[in-house]
Amino acid sequence: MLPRELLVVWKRKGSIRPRYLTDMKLAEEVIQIFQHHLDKKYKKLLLKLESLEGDNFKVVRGLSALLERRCTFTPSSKLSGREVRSFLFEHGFTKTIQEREKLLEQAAQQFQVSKQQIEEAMFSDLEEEQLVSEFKPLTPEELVRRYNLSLIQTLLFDALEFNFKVEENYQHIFRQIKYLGLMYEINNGIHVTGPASLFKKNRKYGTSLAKLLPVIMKAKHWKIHAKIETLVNKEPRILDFDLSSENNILLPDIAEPTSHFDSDVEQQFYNDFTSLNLDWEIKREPDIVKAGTSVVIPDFGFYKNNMAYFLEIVGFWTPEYLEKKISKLKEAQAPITVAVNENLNCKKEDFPGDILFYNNKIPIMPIVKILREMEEKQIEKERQTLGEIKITEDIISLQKLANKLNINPKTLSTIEIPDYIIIGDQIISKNFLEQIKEEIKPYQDYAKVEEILSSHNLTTLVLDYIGYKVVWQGLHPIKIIEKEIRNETDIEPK
Amino acid sequence: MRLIYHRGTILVKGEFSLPNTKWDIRSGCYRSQALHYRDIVEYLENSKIPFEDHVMNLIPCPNISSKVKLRDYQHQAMKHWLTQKRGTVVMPTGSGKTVLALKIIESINAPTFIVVPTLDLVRQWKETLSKAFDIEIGEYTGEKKNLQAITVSTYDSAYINAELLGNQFKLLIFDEVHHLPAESYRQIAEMFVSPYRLGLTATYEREDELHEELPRLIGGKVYEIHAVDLAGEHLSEYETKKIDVELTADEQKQYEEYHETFKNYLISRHIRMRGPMDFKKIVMRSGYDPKAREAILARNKAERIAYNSQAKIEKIQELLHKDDRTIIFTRYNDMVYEISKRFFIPCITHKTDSNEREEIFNKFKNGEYAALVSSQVLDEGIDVPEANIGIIVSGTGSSREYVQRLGRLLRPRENKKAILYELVTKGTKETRTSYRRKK
Repeated sequence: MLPRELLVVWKRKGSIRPRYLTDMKLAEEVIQIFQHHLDKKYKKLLLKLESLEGDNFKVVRGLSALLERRCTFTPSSKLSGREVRSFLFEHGFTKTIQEREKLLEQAAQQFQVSKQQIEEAMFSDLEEEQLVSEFKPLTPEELVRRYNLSLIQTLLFDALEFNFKVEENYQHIFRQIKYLGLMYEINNGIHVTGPASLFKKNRKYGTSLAKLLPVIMKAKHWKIHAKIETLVNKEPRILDFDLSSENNILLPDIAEPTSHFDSDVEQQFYNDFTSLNLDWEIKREPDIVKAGTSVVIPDFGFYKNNMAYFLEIVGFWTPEYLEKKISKLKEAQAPITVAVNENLNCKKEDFPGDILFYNNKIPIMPIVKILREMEEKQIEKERQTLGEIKITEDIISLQKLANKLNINPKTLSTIEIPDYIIIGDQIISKNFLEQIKEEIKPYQDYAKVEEILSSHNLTTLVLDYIGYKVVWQGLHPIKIIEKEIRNETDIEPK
Repeated sequence: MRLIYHRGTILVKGEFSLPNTKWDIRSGCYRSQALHYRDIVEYLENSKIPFEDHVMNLIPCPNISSKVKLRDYQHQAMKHWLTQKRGTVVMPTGSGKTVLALKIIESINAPTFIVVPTLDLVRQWKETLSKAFDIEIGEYTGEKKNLQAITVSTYDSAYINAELLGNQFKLLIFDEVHHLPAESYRQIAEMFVSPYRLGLTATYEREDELHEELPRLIGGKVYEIHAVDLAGEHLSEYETKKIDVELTADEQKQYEEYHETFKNYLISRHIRMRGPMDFKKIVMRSGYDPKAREAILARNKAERIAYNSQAKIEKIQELLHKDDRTIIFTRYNDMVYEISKRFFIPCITHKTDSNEREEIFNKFKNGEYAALVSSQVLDEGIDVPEANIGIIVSGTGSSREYVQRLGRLLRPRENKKAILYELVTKGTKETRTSYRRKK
């Protein structure tokens, strides 16, 4: 964060954004000046920096402000400035130059140094007189990144309201919102304001919002929108500020996805679940679930084909915590199962919805069962609501058709589609298979047949359906031959 | 109905909608600014609606009493304020605003939060209060956070922490209350529930008319008395003397050079300087016009030469006398250090730490130091007793500042009249600044 007066912005047609720094040259120069002034007086450093200032003086000062925080300053004299001053003032004041010289002499004797050293020591503890005794350098690029973040935070000082979207890290973010004394609403992202924002647009929470930003930026993908109050032609205006992780602004790399787990129990569960290789995606703290005026941030989310299912782990316990949690869960607008540590001495009736108890580790199978049932229910429901399916292509993948119909691909494999047949993950028209059969008839060589099939985006899986079988030599398929014709093959050869 | 304090606001839980409250979808109840606490309670009581009040969380308060006696006009002011226990008293600097506040705190006899503009004033209020009441006085500033039944804070710290402090004090006092209507600071008044409120100032009106906010925030003007009504009676008379000093030949040459640069810029951009607003315009231009920044730098350098001219140092030498108590004011820290180094006079700037500042003030008060030099930190109401000579080496040209800097010097000393010298450089723009101020 920088002092407000060092903020540089672009304003255009109702929107505002900081003038991000992209060029490393200036940053490099400023860093070099700092390095060259190690063990020199701060005053000299300031003078040198001033010489660098032109129309970019705000940028130079902004960069210097960040670098100054990486410096250590020590007084330039061994004598204590304060003691020297006190001595001089107590014997002062000195009206004439002669009087002055005399007192200076006296002080020099007292402190056993030269007169010049007395003069130098007098204000040696002043900021400007101190020495830059230490400077922690950083790369120009890193400085630019930090500078850009500081610009954004400084811009947010004047934010009236703030909106953000992330895909992870909710727990951390909401903790921070609460810690900063902010409030939120959920509608199309998370809308953050302060208690008194209710009465009028209020800039009081800008500083808190600026502090919230780095926590939001820890997510891999994030998006913010803020309303900024600023003067345009001396009149207060409200301008829009938008930024997202996809904007490719040079910002500090602080992304820190929610990989670390709150407890071993969570870690274990995550590992167990992923090792099952199910086609359900598991995410940690993936989303927020509205619950009355509040939200629940479940520990895990499971996703597949528009299905979302959540698991909340209740591992520790105070009566207030539990009471609050239960009342929230009752209002939660999504399927949540609660895994409760059985040592907590809770009853099943305490909780709404699905509950399972665990001791040292969360059992995987009940979760898998719930997911399976959930999918079965979905398939059943889709089967019932699915109308007639019309396909124009000869071949279409199950997934593609399912996406088109916005249903689970498994639903498709449970129904009959006239004139079509499902082979592997493809739906193929029976007529088309007939044509293929004609096309490969003259050949026996496996490689040739495979080439023909793949030119039609088919696999050798279809061979079986059109009445061929593969002859192997050792581990290599070498040729195909017609299967013995039976009465009950899928396709009746002509 | 239940009333709960929540970070500078009041949550109103219950089925009735009350005046000054608004439905808050975020928390599923009504909410009001803390400012309306007194009205809400009155409304509920008058309407005989039963309610639970969880708003106040007062700091335990010892009995507050003092032996301080009020002067007639202070007594009048207090009587007026007590009828409503709200409102602003307008009194000139040096007429004992602090004593009035002290007596009001005593009559309310409850936790009190006092907001003042600077750390110097915090220190001064604390000193006066602890002497009068003989209890520990709290301080809530950037330097220290110690809450007591009577706590003194700055506008900045009070603003930043208003939502945390807002329900712990019954009486809220604003010194130099003309600062309060600023967009940020007014939120202190809005986020405190304190039913009793007192504002103190010597200059009620603001140029931007924002003083019209004061009745809403703390109550209107309840008493006003002017310096002319008090002069000769409780305030010492003073005299101002303007002294022209000339630049040295070298300084004059440099000054002309810089001034020329500035003037040429004005001509090249067709800008006419009629007042401070025009200068602000150039400052704003400097954001995109490098020439504008060059011009400003040149003007600042010219101004610095005018303010800091060597001849002024010589003049100060003439004016300094060991049997006087002299305070020298100057705008630039450089100048403060230069004067301090030349005459070995203790100096105070915004960088002087509070410990050393205190030592300097104490030694100045008890006569160990006969003079001190300071930049702007002594602005507004700081009580520096025993000074009978003031020397302004530079100033910023604001009329209010002028009045209050003067006020600080209006202390009688061994029947000596106070004199304020103003050192102005001849033949520079500074003469105009000084002329404008006197109007």
